[in-house]
Amino acid sequence: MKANCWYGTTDVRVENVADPHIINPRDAIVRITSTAICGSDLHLYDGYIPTMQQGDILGHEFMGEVMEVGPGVSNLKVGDRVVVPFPIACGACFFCKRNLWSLCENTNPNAVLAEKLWGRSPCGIFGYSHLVGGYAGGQAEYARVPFADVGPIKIEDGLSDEQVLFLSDILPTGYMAAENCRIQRGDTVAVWGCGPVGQFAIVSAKLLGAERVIAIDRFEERLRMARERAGADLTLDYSAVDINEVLDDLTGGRGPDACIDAVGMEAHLPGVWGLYDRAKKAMRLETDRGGALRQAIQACRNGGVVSVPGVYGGLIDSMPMGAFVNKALTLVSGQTHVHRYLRPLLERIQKGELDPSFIITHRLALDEAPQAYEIFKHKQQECVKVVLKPAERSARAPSERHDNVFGSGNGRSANGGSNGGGTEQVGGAAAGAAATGRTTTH
Amino acid sequence: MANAGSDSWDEGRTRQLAARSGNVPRSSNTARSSDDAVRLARALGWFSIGLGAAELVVPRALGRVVGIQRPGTMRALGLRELAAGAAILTRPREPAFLWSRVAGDALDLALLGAAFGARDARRGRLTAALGTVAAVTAVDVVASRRLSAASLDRQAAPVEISLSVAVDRGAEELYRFWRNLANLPRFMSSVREVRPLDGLAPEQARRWHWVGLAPVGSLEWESEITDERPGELIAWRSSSVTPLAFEGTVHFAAAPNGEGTLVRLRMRYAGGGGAATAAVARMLRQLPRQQMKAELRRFKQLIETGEIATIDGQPSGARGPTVRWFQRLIPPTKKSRLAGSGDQDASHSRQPSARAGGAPSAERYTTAEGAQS
Repeated sequence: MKANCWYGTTDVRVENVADPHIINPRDAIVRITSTAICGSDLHLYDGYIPTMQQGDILGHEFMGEVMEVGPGVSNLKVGDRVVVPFPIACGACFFCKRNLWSLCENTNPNAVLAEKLWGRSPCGIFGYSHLVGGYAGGQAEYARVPFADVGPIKIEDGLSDEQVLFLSDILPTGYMAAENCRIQRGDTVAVWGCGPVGQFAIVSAKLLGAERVIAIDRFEERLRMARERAGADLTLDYSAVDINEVLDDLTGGRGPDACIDAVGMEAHLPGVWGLYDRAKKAMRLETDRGGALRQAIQACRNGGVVSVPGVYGGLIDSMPMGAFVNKALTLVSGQTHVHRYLRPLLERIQKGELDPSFIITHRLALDEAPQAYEIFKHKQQECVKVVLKPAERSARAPSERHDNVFGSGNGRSANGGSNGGGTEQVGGAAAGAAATGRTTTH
Repeated sequence: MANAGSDSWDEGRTRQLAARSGNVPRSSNTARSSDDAVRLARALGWFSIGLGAAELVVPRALGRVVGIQRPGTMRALGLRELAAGAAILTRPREPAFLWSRVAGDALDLALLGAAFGARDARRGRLTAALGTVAAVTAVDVVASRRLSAASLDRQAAPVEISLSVAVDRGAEELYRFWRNLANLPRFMSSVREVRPLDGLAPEQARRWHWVGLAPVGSLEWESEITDERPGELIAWRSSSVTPLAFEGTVHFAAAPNGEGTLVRLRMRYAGGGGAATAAVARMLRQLPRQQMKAELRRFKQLIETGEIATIDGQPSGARGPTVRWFQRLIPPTKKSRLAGSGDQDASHSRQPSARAGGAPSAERYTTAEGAQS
């Protein structure tokens, strides 16, 4: 099969690899129909996450059709359409029973490694370094899904891939970030980072009753999406204004009731702090750049909540612990307990309360993964989210393909986001071709 | 009942902490002589620093005292002396560094001896210096030998490891699983097979034959169960026919709040004996804590989920040179055993007992109990 493999910093390649097979009784094999590149994949791409090995298959946001099940899987059958959560959970341990699925004790074969770095190990995760198991990921034609009787959720016909794909990670991640804010009536929530998770955090904060959601980024197209599609009340360009001052002004000098850091370890920050982090990172004195987190802690109101869906891997420097203590803040984080949110969020999608497909800006073939990473990393062509279609076997010449994707394809799938994403037949070759263009919805 | 549970939890915890703080039990006599040796080593280290500094800073004045006027050589000797002192003070338990002082003494003696041959040799001063260095050499030799002996003692001392894992099953059930030692290879990567001796059924057998995986080939030994209290503990030790002396205990105690069982494994490998035993003990000291932790985790996985999490056998792109080297190092059969997985590849076939969900005895653990509701 074809799979997008990691070979080093900013080096991913689509290679021909062996097909996966059932290894354990509770495994299933899924033929992938849609798979996405996550913002956190860029941390792997940029070499920020240790213990990657050459040849590791990337990808943890995927869905598809069940091809084969192990003898221990009775709730799925061949042909079922499923979305696969990115954390692998056994469903039986101390943490799974407490609804803390991403902390499952039984799914990380390299727990010893994670314990060395973090003291304790989280669950195994698809395609996200050997610290969390080294499981082959979903940017491929097929994937082996362990504990398939616990994780994957069945999708009924009538919903397109693009409407449900993000149940695998970023929709629940944005939702959990908002839920962790314990939003009360009248609350103001500030969201750092308007990437896909930030967008869904904004949507979720509004769903959960926030009176005002303030979105912070520096890319106009992302701020526009936050305003027009996600429902942010206000957007701020941190490169143009002093965030703390504006937030002060907007909240009567009190600060937002909750702050969400949807940026994570590769924060870009102007000014002294930005230089500080770049220098320390370059000298290997810290592993993660914590600019957004520091700003969120600083801005948050006394007794407020700082919720962190952004990914951090190691150490950040100059954590404002004084602010934390003296302002009596609450810090909430964690890899998303996706299993917890699958059903309720699917229901909201079915009822039409939520259409996550609005964030998709690029639809490409799996073959084009290396270009897709570049486009996404550098936010070229106003890229917010890339969905890859493994079923679409791109037989075109590279130059022609390039034209098709970035040039003449424009506008053809302009309706991809706005009308509920129902523009596509799952796995259909014709639909795949039509979906290859970049949307110009906004 | 709840009381009994919390008692055993506390008792277990205390034991664990005790095991951790005094990792290597030693007789107080040995400990005292070892401490003396280290104290002497430190003193000699400081002596090296002092002498080295003098040789480096005032080589001429020192030269006049001992009767040699070669400041260049004196400075070089000073540097060597400083390095030796620093090494000894950094690791005062390391015999090699103290022995380096003896070597340095020999060098000093040789240089002094050579100085006698010079035409203008000041024999009186040289003789006095020679006597002093010889006395220091004697002290160095004695101190180094004592440090070496203490170091050997330490290496040959018994190794004790205590580890625990919380498993979400009742103590009785876990006891029954473990009492049939033939189950152990299902999660222990370093054990290929355990079978009962004396023609007894597993439930009755007290003597067992083990086949373990060694770095090269395999290792066989026998053990006998010395104590068993259903639902509480199993203790075993190596039989006299086995060269490797060890004893082990597995305790089962109710976890707090009645949530499953705290399984505590304690292993003790005897020291003493010859250099071979010391070498084994040394290896065990470095390796097994982490390995045993991994094996207890696999035990938990097998019991709680019916299988052992693995990525062995999954696809990947072409691996880098380091990973390829490791893959060559570990032959496929052993590799898939290490992961405890059920590889489909026929060439990787293993005995059914190690196959997750393959043997009838594994059926008990192949249902997805407690799966998502």
